[in-house]
Amino acid sequence: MYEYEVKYYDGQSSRSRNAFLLLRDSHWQLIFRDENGEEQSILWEIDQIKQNDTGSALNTFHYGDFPHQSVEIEDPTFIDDLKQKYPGLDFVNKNYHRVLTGGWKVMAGLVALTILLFAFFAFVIVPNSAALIAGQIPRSFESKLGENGYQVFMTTAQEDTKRSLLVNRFAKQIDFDTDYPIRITVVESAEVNAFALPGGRIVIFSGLLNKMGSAEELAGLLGHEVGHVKHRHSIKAQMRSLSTYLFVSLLLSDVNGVTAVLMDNANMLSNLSYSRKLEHLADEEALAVLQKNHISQSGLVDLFRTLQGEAGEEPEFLKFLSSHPLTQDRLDFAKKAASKQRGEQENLELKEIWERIETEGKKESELPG
Amino acid sequence: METIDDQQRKLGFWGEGSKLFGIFIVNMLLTLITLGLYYPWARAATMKYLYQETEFEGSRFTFHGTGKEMFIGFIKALGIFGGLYLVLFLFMWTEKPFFIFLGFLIFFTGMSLLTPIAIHGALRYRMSRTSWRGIHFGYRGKLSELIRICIIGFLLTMVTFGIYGFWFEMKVRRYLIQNIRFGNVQFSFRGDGTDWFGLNLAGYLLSIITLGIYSFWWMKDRLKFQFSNIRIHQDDTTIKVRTSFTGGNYFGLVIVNGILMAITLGLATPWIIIRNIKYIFDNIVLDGAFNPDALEQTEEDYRDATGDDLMDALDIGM
Repeated sequence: MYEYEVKYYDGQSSRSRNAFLLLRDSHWQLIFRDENGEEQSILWEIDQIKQNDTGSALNTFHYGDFPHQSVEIEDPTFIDDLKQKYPGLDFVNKNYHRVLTGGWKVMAGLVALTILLFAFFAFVIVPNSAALIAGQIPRSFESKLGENGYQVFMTTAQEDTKRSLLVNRFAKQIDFDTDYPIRITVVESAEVNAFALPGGRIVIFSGLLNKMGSAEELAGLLGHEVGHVKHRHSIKAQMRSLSTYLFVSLLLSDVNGVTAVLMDNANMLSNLSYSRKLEHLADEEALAVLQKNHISQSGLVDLFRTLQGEAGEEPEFLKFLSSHPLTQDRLDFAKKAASKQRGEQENLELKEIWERIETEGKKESELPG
Repeated sequence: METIDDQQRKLGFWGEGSKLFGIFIVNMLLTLITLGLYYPWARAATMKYLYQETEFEGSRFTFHGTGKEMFIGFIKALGIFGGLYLVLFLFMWTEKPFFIFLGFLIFFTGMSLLTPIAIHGALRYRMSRTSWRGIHFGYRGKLSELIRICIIGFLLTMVTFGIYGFWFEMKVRRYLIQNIRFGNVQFSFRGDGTDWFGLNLAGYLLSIITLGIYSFWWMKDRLKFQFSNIRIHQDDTTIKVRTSFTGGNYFGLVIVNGILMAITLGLATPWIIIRNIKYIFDNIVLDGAFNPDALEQTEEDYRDATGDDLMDALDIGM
């Protein structure tokens, strides 16, 4: 009992010696014959034997300080025998050993747990903490970021200065409940779109302005874009997608192309769903601004009709892939809110500025070229 | 002991994909749970397993490095990187052109010195932490000499638009390998830059002409060059490394690896690592009168893993 054939190395030379290992209560005893054929016996104190947990079928144990003596043991029962002989001592890391020898069920469980945890980190913890951190970014940095983006954009864009002036005057009449300096630029373009930059810059394409039909509609659009500015949506979305990207590529740097593409797509879908959420939040903000300023919320309904007319019918399956919620959904949401609205009043000043914006637009489009 | 001239010895590898997979999964899980702090221990666990399964003359290799050593090294490596960036930002913060220039100069000098420092430290650590039959490897190269080789090599490579790089690479390799000790055994590397350059130029051109098909033979030639030029010296005998890499068997390795990777979405990584190691070991033979019982312990202990962690951070493979 507790006798094993091992290979013994004395730490001084590479000579391999066949030895017997006997497990005693207070030490390990090694017995072998030296070069002269004489029997030698060496004792290893238990507490000087180094823990070993490589997971290999063959085990190596080292003894003492550098240069170590060592033994190699191939006996498959050895680890279990050690546990029986020395119940209180850890020659191997027990939990680690149990996991590595636990068979396919334990392994499958671990794989599932790892994937779940990974996904939880990659798509919940990391992006949300990043968005949270983005909320703490100093405003000066945010304005700088937005301003840079704006300068780059304007190098290739043509500003409609007259209507920029009027739309800014229009915005001044509305209380957006924010201390971000809102500055609006109208840009010559057939595109039916508008966007907000971090720090308070908003760009409206003349294509969208031309299609709009009322002061309330413009107020709805401004409310929506200011909502993005106020809640720092663009910086949050960017931090979110960047952080997930960094996290995933850091952990999976050694994994192949197919997985990388899959993870990229998962990340894109997660970002798109986040971006739809942000659009919805901005719509809610627009409704709140309209309400606060006693402007009819039907302006937002009109805005969505304009956008819908532009985009045409959107097939249902695209909802999954769209960065904005489907216009029909947003339209229904705005309609429902508008139908409950009370206390809206006609704002004559807004109306007057709006009419001038409209007139300017008509003049523009009548110009030859 | 009698010496015979036609002795041939091989390295054996007993690693199993399923075991390595288990180690990888536990590593990944613990790394996630500890928010990355487990990473050095994960690296140690992988190395320990791979070494333990490598056999020569009936005895296994051992990796003695520990997660704790590598963690301390990791912190130091982080400090070195952090220090360099701090200098750069402090100088940039002055907004004075002279100081900004100075900051960049310090930063880039530091960064370029980091590579030889990392290689030197990593090799000392890796070699000292590797043993076979209780005899430890060692690296006796001098950092100052390696830095000198790297600075000259770097400048010449720049001046020659990269062409000298092939000679530079071989110079570094020769220096590193000739300073490795294994007890009383020494190593040397015979490859020179001209052969290395010719091999790569021909491989590159033929790969283009054959629309990439030749690249398997090119890679085979590179592997062969890197191994067959190694010589092992024990006392007065020289042991050669013979290789049997062929374009065909390399092609087989890469294609099967690629298919495994694609259909398992990367889960086959451990099996592929095992396949790669087996491929190398199966195709190299140590040829000559080596006496496996005559090695004496000569090298000292070295436990500073900073260089090894720098290498890992710089993503330089050995």
